[in-house]
Amino acid sequence: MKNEKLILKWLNGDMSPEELDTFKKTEDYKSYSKIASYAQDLQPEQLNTVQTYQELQQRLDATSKTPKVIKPNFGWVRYAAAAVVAVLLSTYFLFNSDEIQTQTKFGEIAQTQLPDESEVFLNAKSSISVNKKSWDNSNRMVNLNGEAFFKVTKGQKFTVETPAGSVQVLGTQFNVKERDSYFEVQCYEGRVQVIKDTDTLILTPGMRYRNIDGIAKQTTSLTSTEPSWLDKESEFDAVPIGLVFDEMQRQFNIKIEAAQVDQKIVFKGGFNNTDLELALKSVCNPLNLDYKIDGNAVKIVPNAS
Amino acid sequence: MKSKDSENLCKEQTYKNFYTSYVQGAKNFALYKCGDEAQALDLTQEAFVKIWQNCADIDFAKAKTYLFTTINNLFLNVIKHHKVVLNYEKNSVQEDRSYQDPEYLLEEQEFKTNLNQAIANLTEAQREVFLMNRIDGKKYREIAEDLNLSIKAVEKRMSTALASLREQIPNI
Repeated sequence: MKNEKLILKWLNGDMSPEELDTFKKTEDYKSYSKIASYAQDLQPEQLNTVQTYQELQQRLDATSKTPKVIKPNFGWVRYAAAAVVAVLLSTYFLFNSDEIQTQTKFGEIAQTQLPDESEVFLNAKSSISVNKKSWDNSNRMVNLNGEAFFKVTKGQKFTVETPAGSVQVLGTQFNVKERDSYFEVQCYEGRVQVIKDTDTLILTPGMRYRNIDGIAKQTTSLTSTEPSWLDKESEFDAVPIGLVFDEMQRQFNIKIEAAQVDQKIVFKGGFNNTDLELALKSVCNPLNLDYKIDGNAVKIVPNAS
Repeated sequence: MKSKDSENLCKEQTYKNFYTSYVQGAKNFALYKCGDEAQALDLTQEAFVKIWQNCADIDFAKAKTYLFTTINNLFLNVIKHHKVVLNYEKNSVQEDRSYQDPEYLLEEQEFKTNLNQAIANLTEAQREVFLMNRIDGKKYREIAEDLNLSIKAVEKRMSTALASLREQIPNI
């Protein structure tokens, strides 16, 4: 191979601009640059490291039942690790004198851990806070604003307080969504008690309680094992269109103007939380709506034709 | 001998940072070897399990090399070997391409197919070095470090890989 040194230098990105100019004139450059640049387009799958790390931990738990490592390390270290995750996901932990708070901005998801090692996943534009001083393992209490998925470790009473109502459990997995006039609780494991105004009811796995503008509805035999937003999808099961647009605004940090759209339309389906164009298509196309993106503003109107 | 927490892989926080920094590169490396995404991830995870299990014995500075070596060893233990064929990034949006001359598009397609075939025909040693440089954008020095080779050896593999690719692709 002629010019071998030069080619290697070039691929390593070590060439000076002058050298590069000379090199570009050679016959070799044309053919190798084609090989080099097309090879760059090959795309291995990008990993979601948060998810793969969780899988890794399951694998670790499964392989090392033997006394080796893990357990002794997991006490406060795990708690520290959770804090790092929270920071990594550009959330911030506010160590006020006695409050732990985690909150997410538009389009973010954050994971955090409570003093009892229960896990919490926060959806976009949500916040939770825990009072560290009054935390008591026999009466666990969390304040939530927005939407979150809880994996509660077994133990005594665990209560999630939201402005719309409260949820009480022992050890279980469930999702709470509280957005203005919308309040929804879905149970994935165990039993969940929901208290909303004067209503009190108990949810078992696969059951969902929803209250929109004071009108309550219960659904049973849902099959999903985790809320879809953990996989960056927002899903709706017959939800008024306005609330769907609200969620979209939270996921993408945009302003949606949809005054001409009939607010009585209910939407069943979902959208992707990472690609705005795609998300708009998946909501607008089936409902025969048109959208126009203009910077941070999106205008949605009924399809004229 | 007490090392700092930030260099102690038995500390979960350190371990997690280490994982987050290198898992993608390690998985890609495994992919260049075995050619199957699921298997590549499996090998990589297994290697990280090994690191956790031996966390006390691994020098933090050598951990990265240890990771790649472990993947390589695990790979050698896997009997099933796939032909390594990678996929191009999907061009989901068709509109922005439609103005292009169909002949050009056809040629481009053909070139991609040829290149992919040629990459699959490289030796394992050539392929991993070439793709780590091209796809992961690593310098020869970094590759040498990861694979525990000399920089000279990496350069040698790189240049034989290029020569082989050029030879295999007709009319370039």
